[in-house]
Amino acid sequence: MAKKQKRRAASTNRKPSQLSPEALAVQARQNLDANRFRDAIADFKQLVKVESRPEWQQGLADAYAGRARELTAKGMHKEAMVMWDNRAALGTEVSVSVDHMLMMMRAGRLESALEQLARSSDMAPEDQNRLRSAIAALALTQGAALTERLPADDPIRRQAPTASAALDAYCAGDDAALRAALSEIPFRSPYRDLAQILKALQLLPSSPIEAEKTLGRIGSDSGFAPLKQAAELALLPESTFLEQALRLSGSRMRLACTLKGWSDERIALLDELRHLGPHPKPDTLLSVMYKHRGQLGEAWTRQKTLRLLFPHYPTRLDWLKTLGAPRLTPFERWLIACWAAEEIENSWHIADSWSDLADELKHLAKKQAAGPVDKLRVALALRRTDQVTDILSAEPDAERAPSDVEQMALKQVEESLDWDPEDRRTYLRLIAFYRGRGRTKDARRILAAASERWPDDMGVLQTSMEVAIDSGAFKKASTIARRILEIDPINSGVRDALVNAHLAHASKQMLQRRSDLATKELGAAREWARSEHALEQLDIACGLNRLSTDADAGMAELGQIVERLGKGLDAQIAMALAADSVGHVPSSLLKALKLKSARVADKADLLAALGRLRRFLDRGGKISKRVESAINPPMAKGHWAQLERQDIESACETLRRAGLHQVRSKAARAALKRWRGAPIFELHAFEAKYPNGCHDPFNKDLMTLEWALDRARGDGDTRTALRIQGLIDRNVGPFGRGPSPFDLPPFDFDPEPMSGRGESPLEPFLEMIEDVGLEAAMDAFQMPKNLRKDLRKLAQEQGEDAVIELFDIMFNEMLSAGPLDGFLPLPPSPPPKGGKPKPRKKPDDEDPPIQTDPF
Amino acid sequence: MRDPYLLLGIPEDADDLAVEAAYLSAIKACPPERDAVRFQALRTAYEQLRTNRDRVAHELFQTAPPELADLLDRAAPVGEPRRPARALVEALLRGDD
Repeated sequence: MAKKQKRRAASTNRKPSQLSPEALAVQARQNLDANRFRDAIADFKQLVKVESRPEWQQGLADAYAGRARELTAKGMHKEAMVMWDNRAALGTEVSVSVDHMLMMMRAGRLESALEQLARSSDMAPEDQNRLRSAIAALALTQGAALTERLPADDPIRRQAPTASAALDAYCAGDDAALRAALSEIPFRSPYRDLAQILKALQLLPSSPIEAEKTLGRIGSDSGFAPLKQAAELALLPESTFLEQALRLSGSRMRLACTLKGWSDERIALLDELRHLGPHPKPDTLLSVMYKHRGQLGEAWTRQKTLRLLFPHYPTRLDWLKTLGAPRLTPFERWLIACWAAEEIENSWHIADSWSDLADELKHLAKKQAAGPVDKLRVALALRRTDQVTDILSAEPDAERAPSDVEQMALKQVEESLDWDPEDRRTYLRLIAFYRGRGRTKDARRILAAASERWPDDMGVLQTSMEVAIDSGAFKKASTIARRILEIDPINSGVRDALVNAHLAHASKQMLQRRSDLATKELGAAREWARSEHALEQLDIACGLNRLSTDADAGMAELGQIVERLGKGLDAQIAMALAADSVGHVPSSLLKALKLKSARVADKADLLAALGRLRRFLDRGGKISKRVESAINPPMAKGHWAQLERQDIESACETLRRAGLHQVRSKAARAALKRWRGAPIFELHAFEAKYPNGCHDPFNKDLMTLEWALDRARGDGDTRTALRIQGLIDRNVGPFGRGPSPFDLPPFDFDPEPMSGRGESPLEPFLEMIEDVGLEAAMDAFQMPKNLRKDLRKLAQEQGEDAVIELFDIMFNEMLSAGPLDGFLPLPPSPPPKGGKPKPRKKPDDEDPPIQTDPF
Repeated sequence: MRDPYLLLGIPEDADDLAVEAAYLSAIKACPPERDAVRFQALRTAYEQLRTNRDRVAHELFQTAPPELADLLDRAAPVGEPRRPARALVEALLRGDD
């Protein structure tokens, strides 16, 4: 307000310019051209006072018109009207403005508009049409009161009854009458736009595209434009329409809503909701919901209330009291607590909360004679922890899975089958979990139950085959595979799985120097092999097996395969992986095959080699040190700069998975030369350079990584930004580059004598394990990687309490041994507290295969 | 996230057949070329409610707060398109906003 007053004062107190008229005229024109209308008005007014030259008069008129349009755009219609009136008062030399007339009509100053209309003979034809269309639109609303003031032969007057009849017929839904009326409106009628709009509206809702085309022919300056715009709003897709409906109001939106089929009740509620804004506060929304709970339904309102309440639970339970709503039932409390636990993302808390809810549901189910849905609720609650945390994933995640939570989730999921035994997915999940942990007996137990329920299910059959392969029961696996292929003859996955199993077994026989048994296995594998990849694997394995009985023949066979593979990097990797799996030294085999001096890998060779490496990793393969030393030099020499960006990104990911840091660094550096500063390659370059972390927070490379983070964020590459952020956090630690609160100087009071855990220098660490868990505690203390690994293993096997207990025992033992200066906890082996028993040594034929795919 | 029952226009005790019928009818009325956002929302809604297990899971695990559109659809669902009263058209042409 203060600003407005100041500006107005400045305007009224404008001092007359001291410039000469000529100079002032130049300045006035410049102001006009630059849309500085207020200044232009002042300058031209001063000039007109000096001399009423026609060009200065016109300049002033243009300046008024410009300012009027500017004010209209701001919604200041009254102020705009003053500008137009000032312009009209300049005299008859200034042409009539159609905008002025339209505004006068809208303001109800019909007399003045008609007076101006009488002077409109020199108006441009398009302006005349605009004006006549606007008067025609107004004539429909005012009827004879307006039309009788027009000459008797004026088309607006003559055709008004027909246009009015057409509108009446449309509103009444009388399409026959509407068509009849429309046929009487001539092509050049001032009501032509109305006729087009009514035709388009008739096409709704069945032919929206045609309706849109018809409406598109009507100009936005037509007198009927508001009706056209309402029709266009009604044509918007449902998703966009609601956004507009919440933003706009007035007759246009009301009419569009009506066309869409909105009832008056719905439109009234929309008006109420519009005042809340697009994202109302939860308490405001709750109030509205409770006000309308009669329409919304009590049960629905209650359900949604819980959803609005849970982000603020338990602090804002008073909202319910304020609304006069009933208090939360025990079930509702447990449910909200579960949702809240999921937000915190603490796996133990999640498991505990859902377990409590499941108990409550079981209690309710017993009380009310449980129906199928009640039982399903219990089962789903019991499965939720695993669903959210993926803790029973087939591949154990050592970074994340505290063993006590895993056991709790496992127990819950197993129990869930008692409540909902028809969920095939849960059986398969449990089987995969047990297989991943080597618990074949448990896997078989669940599999037996699943096979009984779904004897011909493909998923169950395939799992049966995999479990059989796990146990080395290849005959059984083959029988199941034949059954699968009877049902699904083109199931290549089954064939590949069997080939891989036989190959793995053959490799094991070769390792044990049983070439005869290996040959038998390879023969069995060949029976199933169909794909090019499987046949190639078999050929290599056969060649390697032959080496033990006839070295020359074996080398000749392998040489032929090397020729087929192009004698490049791809061949080197294929041979190195295969040699390693059967106990040959990869580098020696490469030398014997004269692959050591192979040509430098070009783009095609690199891509083929990376593809082979990726397949090997996808099947759970791990690169051994021997393979790494054999393939590192030829891979590092490759022409990485020839790869496209997408290929080199993918290559870096594969090399990360393979742990080939040196090659990954080379690839990332080559990429950075082409795509300077690209965040994803900065990330790969850093990780490859510091595979064990960079412990200097002021390291130059770490700074470069931070720039890459900024750039990734700037580019909107959230995924890379998150990865870089995680990497920086791991290297800099949770307290940034400042001093760690754990490095604070000791208190200046004398330490009390140490006795028991309370005085242990490890106390902060142990307390932190209790408070936030082992993982977070190790992060906070920046625990070395090897120590983390051991502690994690202990926690997985015996729980986090065992870690705390172990440190206590160690500390007390060291205390009894002597002073503790410079004490540093070292990773001991776990105490013998009944840890995981070692798997029983099985007979040869029952041993699990050592590797599924050596390629 | 929109309430899937309201998007598909089905009651909360709808069975598998009713859910599927509502979904097919909704995507027929709103193919992806007409309104891709709504089509995707319908698809998501169907996946959330397809089976009895999905519906119970939705009841227990879905925590999304209601949207304004949910309130509108629940209190006064959209009906058949209708013609406006002449007075409303006149108000619009007069500029009564």
